Amino acid sequence: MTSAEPEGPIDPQSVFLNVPFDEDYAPLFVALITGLAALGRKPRCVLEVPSGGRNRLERIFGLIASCGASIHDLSRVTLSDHLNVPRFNMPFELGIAYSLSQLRPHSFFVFEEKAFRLQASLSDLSGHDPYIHDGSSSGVLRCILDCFGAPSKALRLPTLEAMARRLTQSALRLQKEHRTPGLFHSYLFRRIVLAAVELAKHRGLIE
Amino acid sequence: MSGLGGFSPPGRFYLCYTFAMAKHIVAPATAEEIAQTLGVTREDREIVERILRELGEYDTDIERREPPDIGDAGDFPPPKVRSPKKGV
Repeated sequence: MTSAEPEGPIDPQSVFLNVPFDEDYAPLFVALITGLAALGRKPRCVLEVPSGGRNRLERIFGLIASCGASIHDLSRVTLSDHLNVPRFNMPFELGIAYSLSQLRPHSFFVFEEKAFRLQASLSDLSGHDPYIHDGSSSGVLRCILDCFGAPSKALRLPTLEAMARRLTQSALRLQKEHRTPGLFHSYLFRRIVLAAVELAKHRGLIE
Repeated sequence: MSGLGGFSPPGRFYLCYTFAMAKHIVAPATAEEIAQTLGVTREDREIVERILRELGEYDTDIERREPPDIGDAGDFPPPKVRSPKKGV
């Protein structure tokens, strides 16, 4: 390795989630966590990194670099509501993941809601077919199976859909108890992942 | 460098590793390993266990039961109507 390459251990089971933290995206976020937990993956995301601070970007980079894979859902890459400026965070973190994939073992997967939209928004990624989820939880689960499911260990989509429904109930209950307007808080993320892990364990999907 | 030829994965967990956007297959982590990585606390465990119990998760043995395919998994309220996307 050259000195320019990232250092530190890679956890091949950790999957960084580069997704929009929008209310509308909450069902898909829960589906992502469901699918990953069911397959024995560790969902990670920027919610684990405290906001603010001078070295926030370094910590985000370190988190992505520590993951063996990453998912980048570009379906909500739009102009922000109030300032009418493009939202660059997700494409920027996809760029980090791409760079990492050239330097060390890191697989990155691009998710989109609609086919052919990526060619218009990020033509440099031509040749990397995105996974299309149609904006549905079931679509996200299907994409997760396509990206991470082992062919030898069949995990059926209805099983994941039922698990996602139960995790949604759990997430909404957690959100209500914590009186938070949305799911996208560090402690809620941790507890939703823990609930997903418990659901997967109870269904005999992981040990 | 990752790529099609000559790549030797460093971790013993790798069953296979190919270039980006190909399937990423590794041995699954255990529930405890996932919880440790996320820094789960005792309070987290107590809260989650209580909520799952209240939702009836542990009332029946659902291990390996296959539910019917009833479509989309989302139970969140219907999303608000968003303004048309204006591009990147």
